[in-house]
Amino acid sequence: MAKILLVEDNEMNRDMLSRRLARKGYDVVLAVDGREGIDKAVQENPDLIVLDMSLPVIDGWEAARLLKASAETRAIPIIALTAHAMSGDREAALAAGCDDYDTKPIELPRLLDKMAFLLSRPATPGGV
Amino acid sequence: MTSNQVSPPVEGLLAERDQLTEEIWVSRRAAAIAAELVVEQFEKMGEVQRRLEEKAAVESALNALLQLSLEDVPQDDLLHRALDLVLSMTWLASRAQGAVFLAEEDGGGLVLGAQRSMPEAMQASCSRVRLGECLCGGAAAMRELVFVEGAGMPGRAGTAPHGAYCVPLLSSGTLRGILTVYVDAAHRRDSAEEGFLRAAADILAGVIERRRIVEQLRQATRAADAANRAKSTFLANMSHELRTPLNAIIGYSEMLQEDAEDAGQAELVPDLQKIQSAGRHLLELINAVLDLSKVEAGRMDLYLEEFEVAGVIEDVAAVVRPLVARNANTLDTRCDAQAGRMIGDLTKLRQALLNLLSNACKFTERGTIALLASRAAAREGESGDRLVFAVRDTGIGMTPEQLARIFQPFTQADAGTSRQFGGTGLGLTITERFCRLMGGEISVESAPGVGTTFTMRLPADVSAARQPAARPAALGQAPPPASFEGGMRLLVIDDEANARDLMQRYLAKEGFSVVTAASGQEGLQLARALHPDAITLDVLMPGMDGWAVLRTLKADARVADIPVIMLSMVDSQNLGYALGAVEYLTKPVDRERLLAVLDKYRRADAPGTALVVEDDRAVRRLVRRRLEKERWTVAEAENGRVALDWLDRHRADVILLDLMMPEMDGFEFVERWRAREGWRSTPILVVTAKELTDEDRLRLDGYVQKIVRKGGHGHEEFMNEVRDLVRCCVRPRGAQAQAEERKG
Repeated sequence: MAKILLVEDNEMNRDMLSRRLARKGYDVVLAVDGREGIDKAVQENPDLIVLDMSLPVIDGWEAARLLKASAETRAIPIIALTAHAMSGDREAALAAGCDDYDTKPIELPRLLDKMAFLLSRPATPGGV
Repeated sequence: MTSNQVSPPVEGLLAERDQLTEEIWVSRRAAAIAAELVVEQFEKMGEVQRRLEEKAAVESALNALLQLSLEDVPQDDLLHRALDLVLSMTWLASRAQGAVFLAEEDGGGLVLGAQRSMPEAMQASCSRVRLGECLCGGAAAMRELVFVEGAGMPGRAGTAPHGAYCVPLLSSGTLRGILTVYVDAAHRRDSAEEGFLRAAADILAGVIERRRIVEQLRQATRAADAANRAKSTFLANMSHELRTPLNAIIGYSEMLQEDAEDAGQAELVPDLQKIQSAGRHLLELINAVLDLSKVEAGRMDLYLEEFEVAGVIEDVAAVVRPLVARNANTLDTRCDAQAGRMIGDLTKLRQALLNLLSNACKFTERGTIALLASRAAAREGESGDRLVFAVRDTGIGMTPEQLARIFQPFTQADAGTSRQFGGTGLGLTITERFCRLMGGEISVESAPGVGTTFTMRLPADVSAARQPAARPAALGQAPPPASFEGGMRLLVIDDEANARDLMQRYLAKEGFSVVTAASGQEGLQLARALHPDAITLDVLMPGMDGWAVLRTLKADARVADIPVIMLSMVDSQNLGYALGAVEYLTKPVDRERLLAVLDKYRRADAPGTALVVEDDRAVRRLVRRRLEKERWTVAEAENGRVALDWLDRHRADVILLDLMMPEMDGFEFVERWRAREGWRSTPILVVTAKELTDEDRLRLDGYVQKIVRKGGHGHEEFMNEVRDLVRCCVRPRGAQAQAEERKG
């Protein structure tokens, strides 16, 4: 089963989302800030990263840019989780190099669809 | 013969000699007197010449000062150059010593703003002068021009003996500074010099005042911007803080629902759903408030992209279908093949359509909800094609009272609606704001029990439609019509939206046709494009200010003849007139005064007011349009009684009268009108389709100027005939109209 790196600083959201993803059969790896997210992306080589945008230490925008700038992690698809659609976060997230975005609070079926699409994309050499 | 014997011939010669000497002496004296007279004459001529030269020097120095006062240079620089201009006058040039002091804001004293050739010790001791102290402080305290002769003043702080003028710089009675110039010790006070110095001081005071206000405005704007940014940041942070716990509430309640179902505890599910839906509602509210506050703060940006309209319609329909089904409604979508592509903000368009559709679903049961999209040509005042999106339902509809409040925030049709139907009460407000943001508009039609139709009319290319309104502040406003309709044509240039709106509404009511411009640049463009009858011009505007606009207008032959009325909070009449303004009014504008001023130019330029008395609306319209083309101001009355009422309160320069009208016909009107005092001054043209009998003619004879038959020939010919008759029956008031008449 695919390995997902979830980078989320809020404990409840991290707990909830990781449990729900695990129930759907994903192997979930956790990170609590942008710095740890980048480290885990290198160590764990996940198939996909779900990245919250407002993170301590290194925020999601910067983390996405760093992940996409590094040859090691460039191929890993990123779904950005942003505040909400109207505020222009969508454009900013895509501009930072994310492959897709979703808004919080998570609607699980929608997020699962997006994950499934990105995971099935053939040009993902990072796949297990 | 002795030597002292003089023979008679010699005696004659001697007498002749004496005679000649006498004559020579006389003529020499005459010559001397003549020469003296000539010299005197020359001196007088020299005096005249000198006076003329002085006058020319004064005028050119004041002109140069005016020019300088409009330049965009730092204040220090400006004061120094102004001082140099003043000191260039011949009677000051030998010393060329002087200074400009600026009054402190609290009025306690003066600080040295600029100086020329003052000894250093003097500069140091005069860097700040208290009110009443010294000569300058004295002039400042008295607010009067002070002159001191050199003899009465010992050289102070290293200066040689000198006299001085100290002139207060006053703006609307408030002291803004002092202009000090030194004169030679023996120099005497002179009224012409005082006149020059006072004029220069007026100009300087105006400049200082203007710059002071601009600076205040700049600071106020900076403070407001900072406050606004703080508010936006606060809202963004706040909404994030609110959303985070909500995520948990919604997420865990969803998880628990799944758990409860798996564990066979279905009875818990409805309660868990309530938690979840309450959480979602709260979230919607937070998002909506954030959106709205961003729009209101002018911080909602547009992300323009090109997309297929049909695709959006399909997409939105798919999203909304479950919602439609909930109340057993059916969805009918239609997208014209011509709708094509749009350049706009896809997210906001989707959001607007979803808001309208979810609204329709909420208030409709077992009915039909239609989503329609089509392309339409530009209407007057619009540029480029429009896309029209309509959402129509067969729901409960709204009363006119409810309709009036529909786009206001937090107002649903009534307080109970929210409980019954849910929703934030902000969806329509946000939708309306989004439409305006994209340069479009939204309208609504509704009848209780029948249904409601919302129609959005958006530019097909939002990027092109947005370009003329360069300032984001203007985005909230509906685009003004950039053409005149009728009446005296007036261009209002003011950066303040409220001021424009007030002027437009007030003057339109008074029969003016008003076009507004929100900036100096826009004003210049419109002035050139529309050539209005008059311009009102605000002085204080960001970017290109009123003075610069005035100067540009007057330097452009195409528009230089348009009378310009300056409106300003600052009293700088002289500067206004010097630059070619015809009137100068201070803000807040006194309406009566403004009307009186405008009336002056209406009378001078326009041919006058025509009253069209005619019961057929279409004919009235035609006549009006034709006369307005000739720059007449046109009033309409649908019968004789209405016309008489109108004439009670207004003056007409010509009356065009139909004969066959309900209530009071043309014959009766003429009878009543001629019974009035002063009726003779107003020519009446009868325009009628009636075959006139001899008796009819008798009744009208002597009271009407001319009778025109309508219906006898084509429209155009008829209208031309009316126009020509109006032209020659009425003595035109303005020279322009006379010239036209001669040409005709």
